[in-house]
Amino acid sequence: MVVKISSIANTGLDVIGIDVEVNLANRGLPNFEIVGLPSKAVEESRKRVKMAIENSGITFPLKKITVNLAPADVPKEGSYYDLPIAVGILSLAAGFKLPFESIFFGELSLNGNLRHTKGALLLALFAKEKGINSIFVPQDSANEAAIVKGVDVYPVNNLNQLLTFFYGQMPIKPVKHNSTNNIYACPESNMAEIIGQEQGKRVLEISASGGYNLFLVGSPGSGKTMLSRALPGILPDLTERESLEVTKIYSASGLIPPGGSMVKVRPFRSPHHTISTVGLVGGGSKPKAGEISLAHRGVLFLDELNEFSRAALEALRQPIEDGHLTISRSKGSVNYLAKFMLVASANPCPCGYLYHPKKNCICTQREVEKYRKKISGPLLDRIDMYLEVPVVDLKGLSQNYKIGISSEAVRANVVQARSIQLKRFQRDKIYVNGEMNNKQIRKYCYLSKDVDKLLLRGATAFQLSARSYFKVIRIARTIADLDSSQEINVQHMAEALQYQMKN
Amino acid sequence: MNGWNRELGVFGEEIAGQYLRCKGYKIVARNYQNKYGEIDLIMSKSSCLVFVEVKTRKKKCLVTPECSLNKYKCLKLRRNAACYVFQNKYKGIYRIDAVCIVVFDNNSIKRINHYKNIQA
Repeated sequence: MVVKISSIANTGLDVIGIDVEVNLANRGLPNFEIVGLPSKAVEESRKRVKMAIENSGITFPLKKITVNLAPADVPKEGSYYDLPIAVGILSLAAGFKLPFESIFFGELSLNGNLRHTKGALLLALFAKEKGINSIFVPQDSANEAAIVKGVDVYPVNNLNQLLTFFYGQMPIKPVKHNSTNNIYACPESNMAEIIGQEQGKRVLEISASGGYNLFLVGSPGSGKTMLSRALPGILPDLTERESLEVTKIYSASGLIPPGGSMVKVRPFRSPHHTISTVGLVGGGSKPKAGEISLAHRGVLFLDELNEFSRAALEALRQPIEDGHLTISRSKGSVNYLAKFMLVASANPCPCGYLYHPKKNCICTQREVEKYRKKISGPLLDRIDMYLEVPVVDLKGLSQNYKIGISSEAVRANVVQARSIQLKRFQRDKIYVNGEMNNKQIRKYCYLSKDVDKLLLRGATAFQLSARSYFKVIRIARTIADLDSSQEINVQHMAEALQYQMKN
Repeated sequence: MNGWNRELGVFGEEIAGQYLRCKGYKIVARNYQNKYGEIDLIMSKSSCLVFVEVKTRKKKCLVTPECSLNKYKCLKLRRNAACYVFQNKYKGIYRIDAVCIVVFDNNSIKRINHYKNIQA
């Protein structure tokens, strides 16, 4: 007696189909085995399945049960094989036929209920690709799976409910996607709360519009962190396509809450500086997504950049450039998307008061050099905009200060600038100016003679690299877009040059 | 094994046999022996062969009968059962059960438990 149930296995974001074959033999000692390269979590699924079936009021068959997860050479991970195994055993023991081709997915709890399981979205996408019309997922994960249209998502509460469905006693209705459960988060600080720092706000506006990496340097307490935390509030929501990309990564990492749905707000990740290289870029023996992938289409904020381990920072170089990262390990290689805005902040020296107008810096030249050496040149070269955050004048902090421009107003500007860019890049596969390659720069960024001359002069003065040279053009393009100007003027270019690192 | 323990063991096996018969099991063999050891009772019910290990203890004894059913005992039982199945060319499902009995000093029974399909 053999029955075959469809399920999936995922490595990173790739999904392959898995057949769960269940055999009940009528000879020998009763036991329950799983073969086909199961991991520890899958091995343990035996105990969960057994208890769940017994606690649903069904006697567990006293037979020799063998479960094979085919193809047998792919490592199986995760807890979602509980449901297909249980359905296989029940269908043989109770003798019912599964009504139609479908995929089963979900982790069982000991009392027979199904728990929220990570990766439901990936399953639904796979089912659609393969033309499988119905999937059975835990109730809590159903909304996440229902994002994909054209697949019937059956929410399952517990094993008994599923059995009554198979016996035709009680139908289960496929769920419709409920977008009210989209994931939004409110920004941590509003621009209106930040006093002074007009240039800082301007830089945030430009970098948010064009998707540029940003480096803020300043004394302690000048507002670097506050500025960075205002960034999520001025970024536009994710577009439908971007949202799907991000939600896929979050689904695979198990970061979607029960009943949750699409990630609509741009992620803002601010890992602590003790993070390991693997934690930052992803990896592990079974490659997992790192912080940079979780910050995909959003912001990766590295506070106190100098304190990060050098290896972790150097690992950022390639993904910043490429927008994705391939992690190869003995157990497989995974390609993770990682197109993020890097926002870094640091002090100018160990004591922090190097450029302070009043306080004296107590660091020696050697200490300052050592401190700066922690961040390598190649990494700094990949950072588009550089800003020295000045110390705030204490007079401005008194109670009756004027409230500045709010995040909402800046956000409107950013949305406007981004829509200009979207129109421009209709035929290209990019969204913002920051993603332009050199060919696209030549096509879309015409520089008049005066502007070209200014750029050359500035680039020579600041000793810019070839990469930085094109960077300046991209920034100037965004400043022009914010100005709703077709052409890049001299003042746009002059402003763009301002945000380069001076020697 | 001293005579007194053996006496208690035989007494327990007798009780376990009666107890299981009341539950609808049929006795197939008693004290089946081979070179690996012994199986106390072999019974059958609804086309399933049941190998029964009987453990009897006095109430004053410091350990419960369940304590001695460890993984080595189970392994031994499995081997013994496989041996019987092979010798008798039995082709069907079989399982290993345990019956644990605790008796008072005057040989009245304190409790009797039947564990189905024990696996270490």
